[in-house]
Amino acid sequence: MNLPRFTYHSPDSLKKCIAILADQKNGAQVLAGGSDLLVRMKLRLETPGSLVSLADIPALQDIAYRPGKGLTMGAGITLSLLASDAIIQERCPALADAAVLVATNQIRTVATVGGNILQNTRCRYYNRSPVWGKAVAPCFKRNGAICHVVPKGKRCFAVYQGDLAPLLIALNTTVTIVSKKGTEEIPVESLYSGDGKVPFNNVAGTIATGFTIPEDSLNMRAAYRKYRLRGGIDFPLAGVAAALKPGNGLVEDLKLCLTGVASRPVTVPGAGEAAKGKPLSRELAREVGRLAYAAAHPLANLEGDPATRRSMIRIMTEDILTSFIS
Amino acid sequence: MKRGNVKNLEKEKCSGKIITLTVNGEERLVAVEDRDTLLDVLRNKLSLTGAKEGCGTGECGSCTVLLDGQPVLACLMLAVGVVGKKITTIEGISAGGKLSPLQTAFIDHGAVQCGFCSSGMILSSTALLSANAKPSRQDIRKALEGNICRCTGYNKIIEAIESVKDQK
Ligand SMILES: Cc1cc2nc3c(=O)[nH]c(=O)nc-3n(C[C@H](O)[C@H](O)[C@H](O)COP(=O)(O)OP(=O)(O)OC[C@H]3O[C@@H](n4cnc5c(N)ncnc54)[C@H](O)[C@@H]3O)c2cc1C
Ligand code: FES
Ligand code: FES
Repeated sequence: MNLPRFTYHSPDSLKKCIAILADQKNGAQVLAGGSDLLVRMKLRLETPGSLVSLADIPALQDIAYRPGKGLTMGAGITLSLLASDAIIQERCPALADAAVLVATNQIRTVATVGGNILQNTRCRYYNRSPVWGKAVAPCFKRNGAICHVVPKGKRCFAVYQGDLAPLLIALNTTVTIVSKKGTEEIPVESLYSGDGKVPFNNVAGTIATGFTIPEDSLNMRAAYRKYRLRGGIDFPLAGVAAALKPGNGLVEDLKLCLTGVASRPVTVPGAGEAAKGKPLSRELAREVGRLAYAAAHPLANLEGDPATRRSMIRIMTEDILTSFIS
Repeated sequence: MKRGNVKNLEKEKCSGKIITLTVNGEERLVAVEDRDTLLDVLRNKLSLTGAKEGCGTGECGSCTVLLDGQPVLACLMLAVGVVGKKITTIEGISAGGKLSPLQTAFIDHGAVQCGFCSSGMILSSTALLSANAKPSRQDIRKALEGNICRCTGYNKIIEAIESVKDQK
């Protein structure tokens, strides 16, 4: 399967990278590991005129823990490294565990954290070859005027299926964004627009350089659970991340975030309020499980039955919280 | 340096560039376009057809090769992006025509039927065994999670790998 034609750039500094991105009239895209973007290009879902590789920019490869500041990770570190790095395993083992659940061994060798967070949304009517795509009228995401999943819908409902975003969001992680205008640090959560067609806010011409998990979050208990049909390869059909702050035998704070059930990662409303000040018990796990269930609205746009995916959100939430009891 | 494959480079119609790839220990000059994947170049320009194209989209693992010793999917790597890295294909692990112990074990255990997945399976497990000489069955299954076989049912493949592990 061929890739469409493009011009390849591999600048050795961020500055040059930003300049090339800003300069390209024919649609330039950032290329990290390519395991999301190159597949979409092969399917002709995207045909950027140039690709700007981040591979030669050393600044994106750091992992460091600084007391008081927290854990920082360069956007270019691979998921294999994330899973095996000693600092990550010591400071945030849940993140190393989640990284191992992404895709396959070969993909994790090249796939990056930045690419994982900024991967596109997916739908069974969108992620198709051009020939197979002809079987249905173009949907919103293929620049048509219909959604095959929600026929009366006014927008695209393609699903965000990243595995790392829910955990990073539950841990209040920030992302550092560099563009022509300068550098800013924003919550990971604010990257997502909620629209399946254009899932990110203002990312054109920008580079995510790194992620910081604040010190406070590193002291929380955290975990991620993923539901998929096969034990490998598959994207999450539903995923739950939880981060819990214990204090004096009671729950001081709790944050839950879901993936695979909407066009963006979904933070479960009311979870913190429901748990605050209570002892962690099976009953509380069930109560929070119900809140997660209520916040998940999977549609029939992935393999697997939406009702099962929704139930799995409840089951996995209870499972994580119950595992925290011991 | 082998130049045979670039004999008529000047005459070749190519909008791209000439790069040097280090494949199975040899430096190979090759004319590529930016959009050529490593798999395109290995199979179509260097006549190394051991890596196969099953899906072309990252899901089957039949195009697996080693990049600096780590398994990657050649169908999703740009050839221009792997300059300076050591590429190992299935042709490179049978030095001087002598099969590696893992290759022999695959034959002995009947772990090959049509053979389409075999080069990927063997490269993924070669990488596993060089990182972990005594992998558990679970480690083997995890390392092969991205290699799909439509013929053997996997058991014989896992048994072949376990037999090599036991020899070490
Ligand atoms: C068979 C298969 C199975 C998969 N399974 C999973 C799975 O289970 N879970 C999962 O989460 N993902 C899965 N993926 C998707 C993908 O492999 C991962 O999300 C991976 O982490 C993407 O990272 P990358 O570096 O390869 O991204 P790329 O493809 O290089 O980039 C993805 C997008 O992010 C942009 N981008 C990348 N880095 C930056 C940056 N630093 N700044 C700005 N923009 C950037 C790119 O422009 C592109 O639009 C799978 C893919 C395949 C092919
Ligand atoms: S051909 Fe590369 S993964 Fe299938
Ligand atoms: S032997 Fe035929 S695909 Fe594995």
